[in-house]
Amino acid sequence: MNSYRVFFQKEWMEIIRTKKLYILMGVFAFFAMLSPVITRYMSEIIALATDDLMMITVPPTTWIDSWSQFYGNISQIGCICVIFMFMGCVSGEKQSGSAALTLTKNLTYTGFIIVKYIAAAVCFTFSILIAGLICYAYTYYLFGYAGKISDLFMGIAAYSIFTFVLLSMTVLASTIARNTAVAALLSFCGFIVLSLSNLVPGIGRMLPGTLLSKTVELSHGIQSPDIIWTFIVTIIIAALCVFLSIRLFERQEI
Amino acid sequence: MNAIETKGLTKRYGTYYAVDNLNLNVAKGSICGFLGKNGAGKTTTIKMLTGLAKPTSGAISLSGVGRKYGSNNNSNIGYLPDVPNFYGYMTAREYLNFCGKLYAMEGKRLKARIDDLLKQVGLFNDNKNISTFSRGMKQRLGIAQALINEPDVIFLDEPISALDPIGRNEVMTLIRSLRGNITVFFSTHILTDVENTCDHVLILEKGKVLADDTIVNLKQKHADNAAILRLYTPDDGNRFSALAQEKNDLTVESHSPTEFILRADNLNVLGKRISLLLTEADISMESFQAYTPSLDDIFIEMTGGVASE
Repeated sequence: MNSYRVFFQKEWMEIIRTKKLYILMGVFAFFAMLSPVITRYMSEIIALATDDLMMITVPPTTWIDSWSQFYGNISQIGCICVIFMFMGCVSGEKQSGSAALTLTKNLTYTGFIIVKYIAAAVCFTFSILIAGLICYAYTYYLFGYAGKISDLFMGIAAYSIFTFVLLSMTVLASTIARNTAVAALLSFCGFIVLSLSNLVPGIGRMLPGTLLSKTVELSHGIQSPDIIWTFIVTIIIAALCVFLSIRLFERQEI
Repeated sequence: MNAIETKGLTKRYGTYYAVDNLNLNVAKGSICGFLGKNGAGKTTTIKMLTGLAKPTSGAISLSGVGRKYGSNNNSNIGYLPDVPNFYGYMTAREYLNFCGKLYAMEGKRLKARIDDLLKQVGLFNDNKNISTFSRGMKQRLGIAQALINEPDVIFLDEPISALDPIGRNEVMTLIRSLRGNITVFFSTHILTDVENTCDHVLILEKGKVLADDTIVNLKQKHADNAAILRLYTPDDGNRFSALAQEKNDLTVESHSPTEFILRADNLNVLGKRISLLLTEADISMESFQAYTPSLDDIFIEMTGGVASE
């Protein structure tokens, strides 16, 4: 376990020094600040954008719309950002040769993949938690209410678990691919499949895509009984992707 | 006990044998030069020895301990690939600290080891990020990281390729300083460095061993009753060449306009005959001496002198 700890420290140093953490935090924080403001002043923005002859009636917006706007933004741009940040995590090291140097020391192939995944997940979790709190504070300030903190965490948890499975697919793509461009392509394909998985007839409600569509409902306290199964199935898929990455990586000659 | 032993080591890709039934015995504390044309199987062999490539068949033993593909017990080896790439956002000290900690080295012992190595490779006062390092500096850092765990054996894959003469000299001096303490197994195309540094030479061709011997033995085996004749001017060389063509009993290989390699059963008889011939033709001789082939000559002779595809 010593080598896992040391490699995690190295990964964290990389995340900080290559500014991945700041970029991810910046992107999420940007949408966390922007979403409540856009929602609050939506009617004014529309009025400014149209002339006097056009009459568009905009219903009054609420704190729920603010969360809806936030999750709507980060469910696409946030996920794309996550893919961009971590698509080269394994392929980049294989391509450059730094993986060969590390793996000829006392670190297993399993440790290499697991630590890469955990470090990426920690970086993402840190960023989304801060963004969630920012959005909560702005929504509260602009609407006078932002929902219960526990519900906020449920929404964040749903989005995070979806992103954990996306990260595991990104690590898998990065392991399969010989270079970062191919890893990016595979990761984007994985993202599209995951996002649309809730549309699969019959089992769609148990698949990761459902988490993305339920984030707003969870944020204001609406929970469907199946959601726990969606969480479990998504975590199992993430674990399988990590496991598969390890097995494939062990078979690769670097 | 040998530092490196392999028995029947083979690596096959489909029907192509990258390494074919390799049996190695490299003595502890020696410096072994691993030669071969591009594509001969050198890097594949080193990758199998370091656990980065899975042998198709055969066994590897390093310092008496059997080695398997993917093993994470690398405490007794060090490795430097042909194009080392480090984490550019770290300093040399931070990188060595990371490497040492992967071997569970901690505290004062690790710090002292890092200080020693940085001094040894001339990077002690360099606090810049590795991304700013020159190729030579990276190569020296590569050797330092390979030595951080005080290994029994280090594998260096073309450590001097693409270095300028100064960088090459620095790295070779460093390698020579390891003699006796650590077994060094290094591949290269620069044969003069092997000749000046190595105790033992392995020549690989199409995955098979062509030679596995000390340099002295290799030279003796390939000396085969030859002498080198040096003349003063190219004009003398032309005249001698024409003379030699008339005499059927002389086997002459021309190396340069003024230098000839001559072969005969008896070098004493040859010497007298050449002396007589040159006197008759009024050609002045600069020198005549028994010819010892260089490692380049032996390598070219053994590998057929044809560049790899």
